[in-house]
Amino acid sequence: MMSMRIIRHVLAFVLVRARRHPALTTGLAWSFVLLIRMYYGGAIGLADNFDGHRLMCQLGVAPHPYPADQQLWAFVTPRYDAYTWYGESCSAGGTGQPYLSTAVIPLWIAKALTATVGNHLFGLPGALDLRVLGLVYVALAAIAIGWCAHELPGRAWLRVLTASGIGLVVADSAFAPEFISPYATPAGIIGILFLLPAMLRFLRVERLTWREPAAVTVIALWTIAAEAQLSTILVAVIPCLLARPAALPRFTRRLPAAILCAGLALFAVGYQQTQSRWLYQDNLYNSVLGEVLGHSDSVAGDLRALHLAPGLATSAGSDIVARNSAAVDTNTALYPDFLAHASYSDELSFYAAHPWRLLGVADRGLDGVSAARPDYLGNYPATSAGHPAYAQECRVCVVEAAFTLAEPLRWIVFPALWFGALVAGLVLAIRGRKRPAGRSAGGVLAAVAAATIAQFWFVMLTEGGNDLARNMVFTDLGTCLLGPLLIAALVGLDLSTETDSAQQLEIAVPLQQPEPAVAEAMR
Amino acid sequence: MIRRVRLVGLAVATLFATSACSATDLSNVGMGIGDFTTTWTIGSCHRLDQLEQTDPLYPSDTSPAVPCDTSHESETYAVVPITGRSAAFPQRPNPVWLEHALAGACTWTRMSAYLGARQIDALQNISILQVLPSEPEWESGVRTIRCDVLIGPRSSAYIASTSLDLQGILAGPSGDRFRVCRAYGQQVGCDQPHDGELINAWFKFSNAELMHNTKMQETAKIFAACRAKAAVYLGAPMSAWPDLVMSAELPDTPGDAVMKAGRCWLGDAHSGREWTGSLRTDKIRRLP
Repeated sequence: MMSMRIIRHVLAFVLVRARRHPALTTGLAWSFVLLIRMYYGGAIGLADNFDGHRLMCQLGVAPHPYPADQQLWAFVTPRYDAYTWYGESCSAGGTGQPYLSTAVIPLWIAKALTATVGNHLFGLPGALDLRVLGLVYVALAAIAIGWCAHELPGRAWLRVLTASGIGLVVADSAFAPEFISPYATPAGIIGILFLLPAMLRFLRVERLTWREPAAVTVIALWTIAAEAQLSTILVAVIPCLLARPAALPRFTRRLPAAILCAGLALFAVGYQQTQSRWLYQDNLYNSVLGEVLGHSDSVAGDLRALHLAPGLATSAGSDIVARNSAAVDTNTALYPDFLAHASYSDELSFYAAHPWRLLGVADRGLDGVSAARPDYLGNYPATSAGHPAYAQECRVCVVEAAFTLAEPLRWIVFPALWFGALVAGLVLAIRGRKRPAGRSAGGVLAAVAAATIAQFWFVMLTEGGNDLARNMVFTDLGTCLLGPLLIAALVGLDLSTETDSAQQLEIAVPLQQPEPAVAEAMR
Repeated sequence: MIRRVRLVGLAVATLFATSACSATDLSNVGMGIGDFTTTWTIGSCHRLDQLEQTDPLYPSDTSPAVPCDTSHESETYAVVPITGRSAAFPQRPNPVWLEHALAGACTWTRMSAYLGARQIDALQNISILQVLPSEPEWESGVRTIRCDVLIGPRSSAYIASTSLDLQGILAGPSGDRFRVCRAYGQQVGCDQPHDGELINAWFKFSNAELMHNTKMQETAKIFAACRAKAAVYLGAPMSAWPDLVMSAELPDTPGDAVMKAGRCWLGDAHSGREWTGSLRTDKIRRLP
C-alpha cells in the first residue's frame, strides 16, 4: 500500500516535471531506462568477430587474454589491456591503410573514464573497458532522445511519448548491445539519433540562424565518418538543407545550403577514399563474384556482360578467402584481371541491363533485414553466470520478434513501410510547408525513409549478401524509427490543421467590424 | 539555462580536446606507431605477443627488434627475395593472394639448419612466419621476405615466448621444449617428464598393405625400418642403449587418406618410468 503510494507520488512528480521540462525529463528517464536495460542482471554487449581490432588498436589497447577453449565469438570480451601496436599491425585488416571512424572519440572518452572512474569506483582493472564505453553511449543516446522530445511537434506529453518511442527502439536488443562492442556501429547509431532532432529543428524554426544548419552539418559529418556505408545519410540531409532558403537576396537564398551540401558530398567522397584498398577489394569481390555470379543461371554470359575473364566462372559464388576464390589462385592472372576490370559502375550497368536480377538481390536483402541481429555473436561476457556460449539477450526483444513475424511477408511489410513513410512524409512536408510542425515532422519522416531505402541498396550493391544481419543494422534502425516519426508526422499534421483553422480565424476576425465596446477597449 | 548549456558544451569540448591530445601519435592516426620500417637482420629477435601480429592478414612487422636475451616470440633466420609475378605489383597485393603466392618461400630446411636441428628431429611448437615489407617499403621497391622462426603454442589464452637465442638451440638441452615426447599418451615437450620420444621418420604403407597386413606385421615393418633411423637419431646403435626400446605408432585404417604412415617412438624398456630431457642431446646414458 505504502509502496503504491510512493510509486504514485514518484509518477506524479515525473509527470509534473515532464510537463515543465519534457526534454530534460525524457532524457533523464531514458538514461535511467537504458542503464537498467544494459547493466541490470549483468552487462550485455556484442562479441568481437575480429572486426573490433582495427578500431580498438588505435586506443593503444589489446583484448585481455581469454581461455583457449572458449568458442570463437561466443562471449563479449569487454576488458582491454594497455598495448603498443606498431605500424600496420594496427590498420584496416593489416592493409597498411588506416581505419578511420568517429567511433574512436567515444572510445577515447571511455579510456579516460576507465582509467579514473572505472578503475577506482567500479574496480575494473583494464586500460579500457567496453562497459564504460556503454555508459558513454547511454549518455549520448539519452541526450539525443531528450533533444528529440524538445524538437518533436505537439504538446509536451505527446512529444515525450513520441521521443520515448525512439528510446524504445534504441533500447531494443537489435541495437542496444552495440553500445558495449568494439565496433564503429554505435557511433553511427548515435549520429542518426542526433540527426533526427537536428533536422526537426532545422525544418521547424521560422528564422534560421547559423546554429541550425551547423548542427545538421556537424552531426552529418560525424555520422558519415562513423562507417563507410553511412554516406547514405546524404540522401536525407541534402534535401533537408536545400529545403530551407536563407534570409538572403533572391538568387542567393539557397547558396549557403548548396555550399554545405557540396562540402558534405565532398567529405563523403573523401571519406570513401580513405577506406582500405583491401576492404574495397573484399567488398567488390563479394558483390560481383559472390552476389551477381553466385546467383546466376548463366555465369558465362554474366561474366561477358561484366567484361570479366571467363576463367572466373570457377569462383562464382565464392568469398575472397574460399578454397575456390580467384584471390587464392596464384597460378593464373585471374585475380589481377578481376581487379583491373571489375568495378561498381560495371555492376550497376549490369543490373540496369538485367533489372529483374535485382528482385533476387532485394529478396536476400529483405531476408537480412528480417534477421534483425546477428545470431553468431554472443551477448554476454563469459563471466556472466548462467549464459551459454552465443547466448542472445532478450531484455527488450520487440524488433526481433516483430521482424521475425514479418519475415514471410517481407516483400509487403518493409517496402510498404519504407515507401509509405516516404510518400506520407513528402505529402505532409509539401502540404504543410508553410507550417513548422507539419514541415519538420513530415520532412524528417520522408528523409529517414529515403535514407533507409538508400542504405538497403547501398549494402546490397556494395557488399552483397555477406554478413547481412550485421550490415543491415542501419537499415533496421531506420525502419524502426519510421514508427515514432510517423506518429510525430501525424501530430504535425494535426497541428498544421489546427494552425490552419487558427490562421483562418485570425484572418476572418479582422474582416468583421468590432463591436463598439470592443473597439473602444482595443483602442 | 543557456549559460549552463554553454558551460556543459565547453566541458564536453575540453574533454574531447584532451582526449584527442592523449592519442599516442597524431601523425599515425588510425595506425600503429613507428616509421613502418622492417628490421631485415638475420639473428634479430622480435616481440610478437598478439595473435594479430602473426595473422597472415597482417603481413608486415615494423616493431623494433628486441635483444634476444629478453622475452621474444620470433627470430629471423633468413631474408629471401620476392620474385616472379608477386614482385611486379607496384602496390602490395592483398594479403590473401600474397599468402598463397609466397607459400614456401621460407624453407623448413634452412630454418632447421639455423636451429641446429637435423632432419631426423621431430619438432613441435616451431613454425615459419613470413614477414613482408610494409606498404611504404613495398611502394619504395623493397621486395624481400623476412623468414622468422615463430615459437608456440599461441592461443587466445597464452602466447609462448623465450629469452634464449634460437640459433643452434636444438643442438643443446635448451631446445628440448621443441622436441616431441609423450607422457601417458599425451604429446609434451621433451623438457617435461615423459615416457617416449619421437623420431621424425614416416614409414609409408600402401593401401594393399593396410588392407591385408595384421597389426603385428605392420609393427614389424616399422621396427625394421626404425632401427636404422634410431641409430642415426641417437648417434649410436640401439644396442648401446640397454634400457631403450622402440614402440610403433601404427597407421590409421585404410581409406583414411590423411594417415597412411606409421611412426616410431623410443621408450624405456621398463614401462612406467619417466625421464626428462631429450635422448638426442645426451651421450649414451642409462635412463633413471
